Amino acid sequence: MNKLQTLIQGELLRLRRYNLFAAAIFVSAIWVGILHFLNVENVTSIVPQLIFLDVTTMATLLVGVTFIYEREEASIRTILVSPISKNQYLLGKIISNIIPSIMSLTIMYIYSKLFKTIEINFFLLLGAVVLVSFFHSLIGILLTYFTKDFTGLVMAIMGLFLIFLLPVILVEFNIITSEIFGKLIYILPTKSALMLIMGTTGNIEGWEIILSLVYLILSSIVLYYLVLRKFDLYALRESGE
Amino acid sequence: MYKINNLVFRYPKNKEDTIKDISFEINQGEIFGLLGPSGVGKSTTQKILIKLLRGYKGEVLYKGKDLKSYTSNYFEEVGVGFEMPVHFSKLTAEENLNFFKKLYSSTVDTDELLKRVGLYDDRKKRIGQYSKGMKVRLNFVRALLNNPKVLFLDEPTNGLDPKNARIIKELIKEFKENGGTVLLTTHLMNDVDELCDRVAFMAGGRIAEISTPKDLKLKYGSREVDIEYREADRVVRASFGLDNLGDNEEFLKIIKNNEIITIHSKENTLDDIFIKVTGVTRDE
Repeated sequence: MNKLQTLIQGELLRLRRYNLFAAAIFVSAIWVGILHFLNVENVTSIVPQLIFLDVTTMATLLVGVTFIYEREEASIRTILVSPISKNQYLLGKIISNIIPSIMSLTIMYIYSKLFKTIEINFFLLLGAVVLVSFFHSLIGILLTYFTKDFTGLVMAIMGLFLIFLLPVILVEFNIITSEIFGKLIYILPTKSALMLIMGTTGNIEGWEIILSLVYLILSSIVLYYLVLRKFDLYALRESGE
Repeated sequence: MYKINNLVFRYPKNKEDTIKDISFEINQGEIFGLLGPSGVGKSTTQKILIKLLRGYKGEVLYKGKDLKSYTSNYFEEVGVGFEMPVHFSKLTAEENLNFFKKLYSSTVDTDELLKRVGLYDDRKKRIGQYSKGMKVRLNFVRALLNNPKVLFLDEPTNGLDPKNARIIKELIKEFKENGGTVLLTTHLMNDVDELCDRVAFMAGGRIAEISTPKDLKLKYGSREVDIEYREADRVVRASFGLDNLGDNEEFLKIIKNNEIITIHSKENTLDDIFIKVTGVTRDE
């Protein structure tokens, strides 16, 4: 078994044991509850919106929590003296963090297929979820580098939510209808994430999807580079500077 | 095994160097003690040797090759035992060990090690249920699981009862007998006395003294022998120089004609040397 595979398996086991999977399933159940009690038969456009909310918040939070646990239990110290590279460690974290997002997507999709009407290309949506979750996992990791504890992490995520997520949601749900504001939010990666996810419904222009895809991929590359570069400083701090 | 030449290190936020131009060697198959009070640079030195700290000046050679040239595969040969618990608390001891074992190309029989340290029957318990002593013993097993060539140990017997401390010390000795090299950091001078082939005392970021425990005791002790003897129902104390002791008639007369209560050469303990060399009391 290669080391990345071992790291992913270990991470998934810990997600289960630290009840983080349970938390992700609980949130998915809330989304399913919303779908159930909405008096709407065709949920084709609602499911991607809920998935967008789920992936952007949960991916950021879950990866952050696993970092905080490792920090609080000092297990990060013994990981740092194991024969794994920074890339393997970070990719192990990110890949396993994408799994709860896929799980949430699958739960909502199966529910919608069984009890509602949904016309979505599941595999396109899956691809979008993977990319958006990857990007937000990186944001979560970067936030934990600069936060001291769980409270700090939650506060940072709240701040991020206000700046990056709330404007996109306000426009998406027509609460803000200003054309200029609507265009301005295209600079936010969360808007690209939404475009990409909503693109699977077939109601978004092709060029918008491609632009969002390119923007998210480029942002992910830049973020990954930053996360990798800052890791040494994080490791130094966590090894008990 | 390790050759450290003119090592200097400063933490990014500090104005002063933490390590100030130190040079020493750790030979293959020896137990080397790195001792000193808080903040003198012991941990920093150890962190440089386990590649947690970069950006140092000077040279660190491992097996004759620059340490910087080694990748993460360096840890295939190195085991690190931390003083504080470092395991995933909601996983069992067995799950913790199995996870780390899969990251190495070569591993030992951890069941055997768990039996030796008395944790085998508790291997399926979650770490959260372990006592401090059990966690310390598990740390030691974790450090040994990859069959390392070099072992870095930080207070390996801290928090252990005498019986378990004895077991850990026996395992360290066995590791050395099998050709392993150990860098030991501890405040328990009895452990140092019992285990270390050589020790380095650090003070103010420099190595203040480096030698074998025996030589240090001789160097910092006075060459005298103290004697207590009984003479006409009273206890008398006297000191004699060790040089030409066999020709000292007064000494010979005492041991020939009196009941000897105690007799000691006045070599210093490592505790005394610690205080003398580092200039402070032990507080770390």
